[in-house]
Amino acid sequence: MSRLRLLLGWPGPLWVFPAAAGLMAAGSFVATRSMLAADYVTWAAVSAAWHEQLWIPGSVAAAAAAALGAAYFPNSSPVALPLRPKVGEGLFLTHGLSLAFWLCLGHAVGLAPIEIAAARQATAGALALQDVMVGVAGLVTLTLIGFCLGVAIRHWVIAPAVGLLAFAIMGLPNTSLLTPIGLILPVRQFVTTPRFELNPTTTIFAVVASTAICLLAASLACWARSRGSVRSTGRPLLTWLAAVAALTAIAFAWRPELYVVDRPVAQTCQQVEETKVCLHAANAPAMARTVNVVGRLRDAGLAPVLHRVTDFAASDHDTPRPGEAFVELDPGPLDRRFVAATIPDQVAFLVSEAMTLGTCSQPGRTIEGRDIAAVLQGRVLQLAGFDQLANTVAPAQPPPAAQKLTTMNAEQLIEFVQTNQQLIRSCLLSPASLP
Amino acid sequence: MLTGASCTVGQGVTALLGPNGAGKTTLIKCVVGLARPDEGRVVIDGRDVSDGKAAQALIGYVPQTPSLPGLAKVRDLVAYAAWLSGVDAARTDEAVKVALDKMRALDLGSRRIRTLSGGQRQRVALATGIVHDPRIVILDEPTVGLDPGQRLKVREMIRHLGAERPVLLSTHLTEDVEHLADTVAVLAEGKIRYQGPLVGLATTRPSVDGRPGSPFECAYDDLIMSFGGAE
Repeated sequence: MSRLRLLLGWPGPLWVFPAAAGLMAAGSFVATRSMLAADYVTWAAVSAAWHEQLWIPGSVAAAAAAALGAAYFPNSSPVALPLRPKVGEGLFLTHGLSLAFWLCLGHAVGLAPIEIAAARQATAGALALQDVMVGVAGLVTLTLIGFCLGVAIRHWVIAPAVGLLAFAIMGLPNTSLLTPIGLILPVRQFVTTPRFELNPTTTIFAVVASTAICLLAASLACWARSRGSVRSTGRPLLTWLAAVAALTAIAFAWRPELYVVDRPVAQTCQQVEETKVCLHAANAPAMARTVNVVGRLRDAGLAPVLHRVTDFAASDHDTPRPGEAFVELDPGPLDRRFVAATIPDQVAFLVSEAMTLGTCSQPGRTIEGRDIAAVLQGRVLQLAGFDQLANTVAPAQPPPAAQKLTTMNAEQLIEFVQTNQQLIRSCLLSPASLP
Repeated sequence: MLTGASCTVGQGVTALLGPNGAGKTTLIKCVVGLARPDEGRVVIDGRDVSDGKAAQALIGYVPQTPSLPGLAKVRDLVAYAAWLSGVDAARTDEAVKVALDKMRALDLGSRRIRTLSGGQRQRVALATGIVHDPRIVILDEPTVGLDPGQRLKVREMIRHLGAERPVLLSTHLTEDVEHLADTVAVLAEGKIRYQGPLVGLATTRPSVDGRPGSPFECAYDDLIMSFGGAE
């Protein structure tokens, strides 16, 4: 029989597997459609979507695979005769992998809109091979687990059970204690930035673990369908069970970083008078807006202290240097109810905070000093045209001595900052230092 | 548990008969390779069935009350069985046609399994069991659950099969045995208690006054009762 027909799901109706691909495509599209509303789409976000967005569509895929496994290999079927140890696993893998192929195809199609958006909007980077590998390995694993459990249990109830189980297991890496499960299953619960890429070593580990799990699933199905010959089918089952247990133990003992810095870090810079603005190349679409905001903040009073604005995704150090503000740009989509729901708001908030409140959490600082710095931040934001942000950052009970700050114009504020820049940088403003 | 269950199956239909729990299905599983005996061998045409796939291809097996995948079309299912049994791809279509024709199911080829009646399903199941032209066909309770009309048709198919090759028929229905079997092997308490021609059983155990049923049935009942009766 032709391989094409096997790939199409023969001996079942030839539309079933392609239809599963269509459902998967719809699921993946729904899971990622909000990304299309982002300011711009980065390749980092698109790459991560290959595995991170599998949580719900992947669980549904596993459930569908379980339903098909149960429907394709009913109990006591005459075609069960060849399901003996030496051919059974290969048979289940053939059908399971055919289904997995269609589901992966559907996933790729579902992600196509955001990939097209990234191709149009992203200025740096590309689809990361390791993310695709982890996504495909994860989806294949979920499919094989579902399909083989369907074959083993042979009842429709296994479908929702597998779906719920997959959903729960993929949520486990969210807790720090169980993060290593992310090494074995696709969803790693990580907020991506262009700064990081998947650790290549853990990617290889994930692919190896997926292979072992798939073989374990096939062995389990074979064992369950050959209850009369446990001695023959038990050995491969125990072998793969031991392999998966060993890989899980290694994952928990190893606990590697799942993401590492993507080097060399590509960055693009622009000068705003005396302030240098450097962003990760992937965030270049935000450069014009960032430069505009930095210019407004300088004019509103920060010119004497603001020397550099650095995108954290492009930084080679973790703590900002004097006169430097880190910004973490999130192109979204963000909830419009957030304090900083746009890129200009994010830049304005982070830069003004870094310049006024940056050291206020250090030992020896006072609440009064912090409140004065917050009043200063609010006035800077107000003068720069970010009234809503200014209202948000204003302290509930501003020190009476800081009242004068709220009435200063831009020139006066620049002069005040120029005069008191050491105190401002150290968060040591006090009523005595105020005009 | 089976001990010393030794028998030989030759041309024609051999009925494996015994009460529930006698070990018929276990013996069948050993024969088809789904279970491995602690001792002894199952040999078909001089080849041990545990030798692997090639030896398994000598066997056509239809389990008790097969539950076929309802979504599949009849022709596809039989072709699938052919593929699983290693039939050459170029020969598959012809093999499917022959198997369905033998089971008088050629007209069912394009229908989905779920649309078939019980008797039609059983004939399709028989077709999957013979599509690879096995040396021996093993049937586990093939007429259970069929209405009288369907049972007659299935018996006819089995009789045709028995004319071509050895058929081992596991059943607890003496009526089936009388209509189909050339030879009978009676299994009780894990051992073959009688193997020989159908008529031989009645001859060796001339029975029992006043008991209802055919001489064969009476002799069979007598044999089983002598080992404690049905469980």
